Amino acid sequence: MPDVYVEKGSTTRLDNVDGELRVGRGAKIAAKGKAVTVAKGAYFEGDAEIDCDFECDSLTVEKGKLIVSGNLTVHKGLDVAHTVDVGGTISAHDIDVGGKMFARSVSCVDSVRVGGIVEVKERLEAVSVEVGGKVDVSGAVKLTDLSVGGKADVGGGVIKGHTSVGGVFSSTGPLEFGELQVYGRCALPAGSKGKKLSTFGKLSVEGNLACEQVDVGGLTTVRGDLSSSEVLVNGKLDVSGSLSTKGMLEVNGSCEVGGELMGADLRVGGRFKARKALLSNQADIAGEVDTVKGLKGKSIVIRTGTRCKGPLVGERVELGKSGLVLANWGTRWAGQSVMMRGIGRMTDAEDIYGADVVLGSNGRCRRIFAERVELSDGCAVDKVTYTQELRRSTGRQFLTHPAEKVAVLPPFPL
Amino acid sequence: MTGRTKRTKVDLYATILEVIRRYPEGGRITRISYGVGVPVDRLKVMVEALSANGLVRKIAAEDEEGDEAGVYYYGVTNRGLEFLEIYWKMKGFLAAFGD
Repeated sequence: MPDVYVEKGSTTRLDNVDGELRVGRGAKIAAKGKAVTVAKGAYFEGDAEIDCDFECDSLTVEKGKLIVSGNLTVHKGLDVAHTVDVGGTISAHDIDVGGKMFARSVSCVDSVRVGGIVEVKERLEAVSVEVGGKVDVSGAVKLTDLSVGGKADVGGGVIKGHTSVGGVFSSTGPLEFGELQVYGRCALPAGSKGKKLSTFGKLSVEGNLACEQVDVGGLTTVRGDLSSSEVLVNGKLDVSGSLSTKGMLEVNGSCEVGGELMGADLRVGGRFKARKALLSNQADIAGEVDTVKGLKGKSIVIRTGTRCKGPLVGERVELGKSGLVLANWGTRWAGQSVMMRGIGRMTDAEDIYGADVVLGSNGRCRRIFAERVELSDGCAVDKVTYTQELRRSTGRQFLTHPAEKVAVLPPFPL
Repeated sequence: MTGRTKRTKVDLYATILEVIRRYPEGGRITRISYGVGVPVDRLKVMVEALSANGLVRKIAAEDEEGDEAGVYYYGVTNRGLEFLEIYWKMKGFLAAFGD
């Protein structure tokens, strides 16, 4: 038996309830003072309205909608079958709502679970938030984990654990995230940073993004600089600023960088375009490369049928030499597609600078400046300038000007 | 999920599964209906269809004596989770194509 029972359809003024409170359907509660405090549990049989601040140990709404005009404080669990609409702040240990939850702000010690929709005008704080449908938080969030079936819009903040969104994720304020996984569309503002970002559909970032790992399928647009330890793109990556990686940048599709690329390794199966690319280790390219100021790496391997614009600078540069060996990414469809397109095509480049330059069969370039040069059958070069050795295969090579041995090479670009 | 455009049948199935997966211990049909935003009678038909195709697991609640209480709980199967992953990936593909 409850200690206080509010009849259905009635309007009652309450102060403090020393035990349990049971409220009938359609009842209205107001406070004698500023707030109503219930020492134990509050149980609502159906639709109810509370026209003040309300505090209790636990709260259950069996069916219908609970409207609270003030703040709602629940020390243990808040369990609402259908909808809860709070004008102020919801503070609870854990929240379980079947349908919809509306509030000005939410502060939850443990987990929030909502079947349908969550709309919060200001802040949302919780350990984990699980929502079947849609989450809309205008203010900042402070969460460990977020899992949303459909759509999530947040006003920035911190989600330090795992974020999983089925459809659309967008943040209007800078977001700090742990692992962000979005299947559909993802939009982030400038100044966001995180550990791992993986999207499957479309990602757009309105400024700079710093991340440890970026794994993107589909279309990615970064209107600023992108810095990440590793970047894997299966689709299209468009960075208007600079792109810096500590490890590998792997592109199966197309990658355009408005500024310069700085990184360790570059592997492209498709199209790569940048103003300048500076790599501390290897570039392995099959498809098309367009660098206005050039591409520099320790070792550069240009696969058969690849077309390069801009100078290539490396300790060792191989052009079309080992075209049909597409390393470990030959098994991917993009790699295979590039390989098929490369068969029978000339490998084409502009100026090449290096210590060792190997021009494979049917390779064609403008000028070569190197210490040692190796020319294979059927290759065509405008001019070869070398300091130590020129090796030519037994077949025919096409040199517009005779090869020239010099004591010192001209300074390399980049 | 709750946009102005009318949800297709597949969208509805995905929504139902997304709501049910939030209840790893099993969710009651009324509670699921509030989450999905579909009346219980209509939802029951769709949940039965999902159950018949192995995407949803139907669990009969037992009373204190261990007999069936006539109340059912619903949970998502691995096949249901697989459906959701493919559904969202397909949505992702379509988003990339500009749809």
